[in-house]
Amino acid sequence: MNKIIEKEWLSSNIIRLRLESEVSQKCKPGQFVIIRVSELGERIPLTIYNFDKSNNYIELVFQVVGVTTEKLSKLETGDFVLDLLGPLGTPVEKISGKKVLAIAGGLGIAPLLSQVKHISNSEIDTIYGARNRESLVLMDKLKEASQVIEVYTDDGSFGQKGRVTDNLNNLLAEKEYDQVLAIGPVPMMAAVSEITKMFNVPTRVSLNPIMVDGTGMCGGCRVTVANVVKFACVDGPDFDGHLVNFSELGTRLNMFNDRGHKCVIKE
Amino acid sequence: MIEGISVLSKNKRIEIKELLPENRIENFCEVVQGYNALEAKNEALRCLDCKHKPCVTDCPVNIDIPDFIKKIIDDNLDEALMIIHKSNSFPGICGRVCPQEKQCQLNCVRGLKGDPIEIGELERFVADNATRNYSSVKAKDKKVAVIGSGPSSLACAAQLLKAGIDVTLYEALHALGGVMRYGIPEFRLPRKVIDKEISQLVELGLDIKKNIMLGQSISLEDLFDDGFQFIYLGIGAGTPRLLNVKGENLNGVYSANEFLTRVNLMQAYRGDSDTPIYVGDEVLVVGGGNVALDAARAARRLTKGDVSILYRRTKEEMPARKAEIEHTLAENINLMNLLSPKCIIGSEGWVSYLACDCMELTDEVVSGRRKVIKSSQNNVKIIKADTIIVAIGQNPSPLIRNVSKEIELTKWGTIKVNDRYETTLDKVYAGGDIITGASTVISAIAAGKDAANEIIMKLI
Repeated sequence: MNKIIEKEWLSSNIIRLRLESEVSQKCKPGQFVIIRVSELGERIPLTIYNFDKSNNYIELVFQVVGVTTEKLSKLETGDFVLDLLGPLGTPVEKISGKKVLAIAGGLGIAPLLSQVKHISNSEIDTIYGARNRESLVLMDKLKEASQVIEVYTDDGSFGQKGRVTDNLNNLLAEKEYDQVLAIGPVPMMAAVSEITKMFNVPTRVSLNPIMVDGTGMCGGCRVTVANVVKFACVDGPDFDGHLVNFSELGTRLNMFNDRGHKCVIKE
Repeated sequence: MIEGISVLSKNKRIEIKELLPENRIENFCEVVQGYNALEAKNEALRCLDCKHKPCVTDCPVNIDIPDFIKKIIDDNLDEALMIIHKSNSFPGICGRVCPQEKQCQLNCVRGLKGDPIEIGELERFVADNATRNYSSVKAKDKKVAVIGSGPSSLACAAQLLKAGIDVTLYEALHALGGVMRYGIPEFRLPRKVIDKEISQLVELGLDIKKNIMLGQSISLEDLFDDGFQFIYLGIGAGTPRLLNVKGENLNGVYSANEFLTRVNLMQAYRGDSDTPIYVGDEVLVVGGGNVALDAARAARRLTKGDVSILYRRTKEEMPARKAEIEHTLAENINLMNLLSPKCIIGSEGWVSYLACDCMELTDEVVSGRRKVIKSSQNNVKIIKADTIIVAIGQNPSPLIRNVSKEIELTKWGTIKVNDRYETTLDKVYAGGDIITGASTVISAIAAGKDAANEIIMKLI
């Protein structure tokens, strides 16, 4: 169980892992797993990037950003992930709109692709933005699944210099999209949602708040959606972007960065 | 040769050694140290072995208490454990967490003129010091799946295993014990006590599957297809109840479940744990039950600042275990009475004050406790806080809906069962907090055991 059967570095700090896992048998698009890599390790949520029921595997794509992803990055093919629970979260509803605009920011490309791949009978345009050329990953997969219309980098090292929202107003005015999907950093999803709201285009976002158990037990992942408190782990992680309180989410994501890990006592 | 105590002092209990408050708030070591052999024997000698045995009747699982106490006097701890095990497989846990003052010790005849017998401490003494080999006669081809690894599931599993039935236990988290693992802190219930009592079930053949969540990773159909004849749902009430006031999502506001899960399950109090925790200098814990006390005491150990418990009623009405109320107040934790949170005020995303309505007690008694209302002057009190922990109860998880649409729920979201613990879905039983809402460890154990007996009657 949870054996790593394939490992690929997509960039200098983004990895794709393929894991043997029964989770593949129950998995639906939009769901995630909680993993723990070591004794006394954290539990962290990771979106299921890809799954294959007949070959019994799931794939995770993650960026090395914290202590747990660092530990996970050290595991090699043949190693096991200590604990893996899933699939968790509410699967996303199937998109039925004729014209879909999918927007990915940074590592949001992985969850976005996992959803885009399952959209059928729709014309899909995609916009993808990342820090620089090196951190644009899975571009070939994105091209396979959609019509990539715009690519942005912060430094202009690939595509256009700028942000995914730079030309969004024009696009929405020009083309009649039935649905927007936006997955990426909180400020990016907030900015996209603000614009699409003006054009009244339904917009789905995928949230990544801090979680502990991932099963609705702790409430650490609570987000405000339409002025109602929701637990992203069970009610989400996908929500209507026009109803999410992004500024609260952004603040909550920084809870332990701001005031850190200061309470530690001797055994 | 151990000397007995004199008749004159028999109305006084033998004192139980505890770590001193000033020392224990520096660590997570178990506070109550328990009796040594001489102390246990002297306490046991105080038992009158009365005719009516109110302790047995008042025990939710009817342990033959006078009988095991006699075995302590006879220095036969192994037999004492055997007697307890006939009714309860988890004396190490129950001796520590049961509200004895409301159960076995409530009507103790010795208590009429003096201190009741310290039954919980004696039960714990036996559990910690006796040894026992476990065996059972295998029943052929009988398989039951038990969902969850909290007290009711473990008790159900224990009872089934003793009847020789194969049991597989499924737990969603990475560690076993349910609320005893994520909720109750080490200083009240050491992990090694939970591990020991679970390992006894493994010796009896319990098959354990962690990281599997019913309704998500597997379905009831999968389990029936795998040959399980019956399924027991002991999935607890794990969803935190929130205040539903403005400002609750500010940073620094935790549900008690989150705070305690970080501390207990994830061991965030240890320097070598990866899970972060923040405890500020002005900690307010809202609630008056055991969970509130556990959260406050854990916070006490993680900050040099002020820790206060804020409760709608007063100390007299607190539903927590009596010994823990005393332990809590000895640990430099303030109790602020007759306050009910109104809203949380913050700045820059972080909590800074809690505004409360002042309350007053009325003479009307509702479900055993005096009702409180807002004070007639409509006073509001503003209290400074940088950490708020909300411990006002737990509800059943709404994820039960993913398990089966055919399992009927009550209006409280608990699972509906008949008096044989059968749900509305054939061959599926349920017990513990998922049918009652959040309650005690021992009532969950009693339900698990009774449900197991119902299953055994059907199977054998």
